[in-house]
Amino acid sequence: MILKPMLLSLKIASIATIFSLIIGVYLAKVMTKKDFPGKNAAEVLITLPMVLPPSVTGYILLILFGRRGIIGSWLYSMGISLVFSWTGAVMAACIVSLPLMYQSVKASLINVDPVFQKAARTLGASESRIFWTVTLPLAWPGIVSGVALTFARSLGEFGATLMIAGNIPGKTQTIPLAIYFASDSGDMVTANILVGIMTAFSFILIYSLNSWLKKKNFHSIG
Amino acid sequence: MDMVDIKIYKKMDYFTIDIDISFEGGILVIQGESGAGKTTLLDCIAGLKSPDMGSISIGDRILYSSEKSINLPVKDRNIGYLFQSYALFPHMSVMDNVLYGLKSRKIKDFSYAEKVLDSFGIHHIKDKLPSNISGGEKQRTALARAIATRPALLLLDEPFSALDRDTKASVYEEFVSFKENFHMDTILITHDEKEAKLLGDRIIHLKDGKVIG
Repeated sequence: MILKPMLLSLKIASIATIFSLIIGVYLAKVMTKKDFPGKNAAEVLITLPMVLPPSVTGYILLILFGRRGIIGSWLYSMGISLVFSWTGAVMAACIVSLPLMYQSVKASLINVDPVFQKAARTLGASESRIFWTVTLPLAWPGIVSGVALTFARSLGEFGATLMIAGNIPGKTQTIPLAIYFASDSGDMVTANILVGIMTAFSFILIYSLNSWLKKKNFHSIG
Repeated sequence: MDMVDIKIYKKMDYFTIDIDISFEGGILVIQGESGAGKTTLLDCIAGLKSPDMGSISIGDRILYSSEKSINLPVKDRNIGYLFQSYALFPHMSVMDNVLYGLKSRKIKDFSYAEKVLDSFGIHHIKDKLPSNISGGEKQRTALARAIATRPALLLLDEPFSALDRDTKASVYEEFVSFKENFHMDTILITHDEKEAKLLGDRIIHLKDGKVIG
């Protein structure tokens, strides 16, 4: 009752964080380097899941990826279904937490002193070599905070996950869902334990991150 | 030694840079107050900024020509640039900083870089991070990094301004021996008249973007 949701939550949050990291770094790189028509709209679109109610994000995902959805019906014909599966929960967690990763990585990329990129350019480095060997390593603290925040947000994801993945114990029931349904059915012991674990974990995560960032002379969160 | 030919016209906020300089071999010092357009001039030569008009060539290699619509990207110009702040990559060791240009150009022979490290007396700190070395060592590392790729032209932007007076004296001496050992066409900019006289083979004065003598 406690262990399964915990392991599932860790699995979903870890995978969602890896996807968020790859997508977030790529988007931040493009948005800080390139100008294109509709850039502002793209920026809003990436950030939107942060301000929309998760149920709205979940509903949109359901419309897109449901079995009769625009993308979902096509995936279903190939035998892939994201609805009522843990992969759907990964997608929900990834989309909802992506803005945190994106904002964090983007801010840290912008903060890198351009003189280092100029120096690398005069030393014959290509733009992609500069990004991977100079800009990204110097933006490291921002990436670490992005990872920590994304992981914490993914772990706590509730609304969108419930909409697309449902609440199937052992399959899609993550800690937040288990808490909701435990408290709903009057199982306060389980709810109390899971709430304690979530709160303690999030506290320790943000506390360690802030201490680490302070040591690195980077802005702490909150 | 190739003839370095620089003609730059660029409108700035408060004045216009309008320069026509040629030199061959040795150290050309451009002296001027801050805000005279010195760093912009170096940035244009390195390709970090574009002039509005003009031409920049080293020997028969054209780096920039508004007339012929040539504007070589920075990475293809092969110009060494020592920045005023040194811009040493803080996450790389002294050695990795010095080898960065060679690795960027996929040059596998590090013997020249090793020679530079030795002659600059920074071989023993090659594994240290820039945050753990002295101001003089940082300056030498930055210079070693700029020349390790054997650039066709070396640009030095106020290379001694960040050093204290005692360090400066010894670095000047080292610089004179560097000049004799490495024979590299160099443009050095400074606001310090004494420094200009001490190090330059030729000195020109810049004010509001124009050569005044």
